[in-house]
Amino acid sequence: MQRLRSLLIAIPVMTVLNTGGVLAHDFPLTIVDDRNKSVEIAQLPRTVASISSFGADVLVSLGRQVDGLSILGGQQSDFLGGAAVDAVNLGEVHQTNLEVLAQLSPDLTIGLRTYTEPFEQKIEEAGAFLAFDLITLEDSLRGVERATLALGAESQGSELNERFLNDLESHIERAPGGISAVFLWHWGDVPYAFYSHHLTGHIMTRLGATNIQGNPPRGMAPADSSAISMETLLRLNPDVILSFKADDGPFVSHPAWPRLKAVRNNRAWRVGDQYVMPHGPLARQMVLKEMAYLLYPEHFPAPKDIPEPAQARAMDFER
Amino acid sequence: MDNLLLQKRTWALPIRALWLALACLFVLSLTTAGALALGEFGIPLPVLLEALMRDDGSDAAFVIRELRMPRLLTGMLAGGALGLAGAIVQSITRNPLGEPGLLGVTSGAAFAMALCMTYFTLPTPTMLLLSTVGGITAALLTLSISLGARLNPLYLTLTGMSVNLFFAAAIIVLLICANVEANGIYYWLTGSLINRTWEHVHLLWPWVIPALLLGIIFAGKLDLLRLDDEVLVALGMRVTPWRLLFGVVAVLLAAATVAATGPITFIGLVAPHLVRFTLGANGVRHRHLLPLSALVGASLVCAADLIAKWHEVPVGILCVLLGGPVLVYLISRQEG
Repeated sequence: MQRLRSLLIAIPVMTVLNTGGVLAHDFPLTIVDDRNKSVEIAQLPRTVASISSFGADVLVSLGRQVDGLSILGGQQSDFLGGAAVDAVNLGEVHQTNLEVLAQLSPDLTIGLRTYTEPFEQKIEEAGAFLAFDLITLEDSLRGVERATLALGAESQGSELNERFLNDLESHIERAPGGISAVFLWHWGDVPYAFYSHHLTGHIMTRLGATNIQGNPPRGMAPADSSAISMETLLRLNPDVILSFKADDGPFVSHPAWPRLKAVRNNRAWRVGDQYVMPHGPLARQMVLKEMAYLLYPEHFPAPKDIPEPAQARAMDFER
Repeated sequence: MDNLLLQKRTWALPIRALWLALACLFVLSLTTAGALALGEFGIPLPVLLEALMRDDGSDAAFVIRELRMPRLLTGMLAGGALGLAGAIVQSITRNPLGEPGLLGVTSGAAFAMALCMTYFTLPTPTMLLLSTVGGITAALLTLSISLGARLNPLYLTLTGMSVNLFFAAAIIVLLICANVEANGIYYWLTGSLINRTWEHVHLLWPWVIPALLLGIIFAGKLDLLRLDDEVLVALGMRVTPWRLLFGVVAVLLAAATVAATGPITFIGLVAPHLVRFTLGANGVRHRHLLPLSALVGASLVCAADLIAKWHEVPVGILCVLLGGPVLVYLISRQEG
C-alpha cells in the first residue's frame, strides 16, 4: 500500500519534471553559450521565450509550447505553421520589447546574439538567457544540442541532430549534382548573395550545387552575405535562383533578369524566411527537402509538410 | 603696375581653369575607358568596340550597353549635378561648408526613397520620381520658412540644418519601425551606383544639363550674390527672387541625384573647393566655378566608382576616401 501511494505521488511529479527524457536531478545545470558565458539553468524551464525563430523551432520540434516569440517584418515565421500563435508577441526580432519580456518573466530565453547583444543584461534580469551565433551547420547542431539540454530534452536534441545529418546524407547520395545556384536577399535594387558557410549555402553545396557566391574572402569578418552586381550574376548565370524577398519593383525590373538562365527556365524562386534562419530542427529539414526538390525536381518530390505560406513560389517579373 | 597685375590675373585664371578642365576630361576619359572595359565579364577590346557600335544581342553587348554604360553615365551626371549644386549652395548661403544637404534636400529625398522601398512595391521610375518629390518637399520647407527672412544666408543655413536633421531622424524612426535589414539600408544611404540602368540616366540628364546651362547663363548674378544683401539692394538687385531661383535649381539637381544614387554627400562640398584651391583664388567667377565644379564632381564620382566596382563598396565612401585627402592637401598647400 505504502509502495502504491509512493508510486501515485511519483508519477505526476516525474511527469512535470521530466520533459523529453531528462530527469529533474539533471538540474541545476550550466551551459556555455556562444557568448562564451556560463549560464546556469536552475530548474526545468516552464516558461520559455524565443528571440528569433530558432528557439520556437526547437520548442515546437520537442512538442512544447512557445510562451513568447519575436516577429520578423510584423509577423511570425510562416514555417512555424501557426504552432506559436498563442505566444506573447515580443516585438521585432532586432528590438525586443523588454517590458513585455519582463512581464512574461520567462525561466529561459533563447535568442540570437546579433539581435540581443545591446540589451542582454535586461534579458538576463528576466531569467536565464542563452544567446547563439547561428550561421553554419556546426552552429545549428551546437545550438540545438544546447537549447534542448537547457529544456531538459538532451536526448531528443541529439536525435533531431542525428536525423538531420542522416537526411542530409541520404539527400546527398541521391542528388545528381552538376548544377549552379545562388541564394539572394535584396534591399532596394541591390541584391546580396549568401556565402557557402551559411547553412542554406552549405546545404546547397552539399547537395552538389555550386554556390556562385562561394566562400567569404579570407580575412573578412564572417558576414553571411555580401552585395552582388547584376553583371556578376549574369556572368555566373546560375541554373537556379532562390531569393528571400524577391518580388519588389526596382529589384525585378532590372533589364538583366530576362537574360538569366534561371529566369528563362522558370527556375527563379521566392522562398520563405526559414532559408534565412535555417538553423532550427524544423527549418533546416524544410530547407533541405525543398531545396533538393528545387534543384533537382526530377529526383526529389515536392515536400508536402511545409506550411503553404512558407513554400517556394516562382518569382514574379511582371511588375 | 596694378594694371599689369590685374591683366596677368585676368589671363592666368582662365588658363588655370583650362588646365583643370583638361585634367578633369583626362580623368573622365580614363575612367570611361576603365568603366567600359573592366568588370566581371572579360570582354576583349575588339568585342567592346563592336558592342559600342552596334547591339548584336550578345551578352557582351548587353553588358556594355545596358549595365556598364548606364552606370558610368549615372555616375557622371550624379557627380556633375552634386558639384554644381554644391557650388550654387555655397554661393547663395555664403557658407563655405555649404552643400545640397544644407537645404534639407538630401535627407528629404533619402527619406522618401527609404519609405517607398520599405513599405511599397513600385516600379523604378515611380520611386525615383517620389524620391525627387521628397527632396523638393524638404527643400521647399526650408526655403518657405527662410522666405520670412528674405532668404538671409544665416537663417537659410540654420533652417536647412534643422530640416535636414528632422528628415535624418525620420529615416532612423522608419528603420526602427520597419525591421529594415541594416546592411541594405546603410549600403543605399552611403550612395551607390551598383545596378544602375538607363532609367536612372533618364531621370538625371533633364535636370543636370538645363541646370548647368542656366547656371552659366546667369553666372554673373551668382557672383553678385556673394556680396552683402545691403550692397546688393543698393545696387538695385532683387536678391530674394535670384536666391530662390538658384536655390530651386540646386534642390532639383540634388533631389534627382539622391533618387538615382542615394545620398553621396561629400561631392557637393568638396568639388567647388577643389576648383577654388586649384585655381588659387577665392574670387573665382561662377562662369568658371560652375562648369568646373561639375567636371570635378563627375571625375571624382567616376574614379571612385571604378575602384568601388572591385568589391562593390558603396561609391559614397570612396568619394570621401579619394576627395578628402586631395582637399586636405590643397588646404595645407594654400596655408603654406
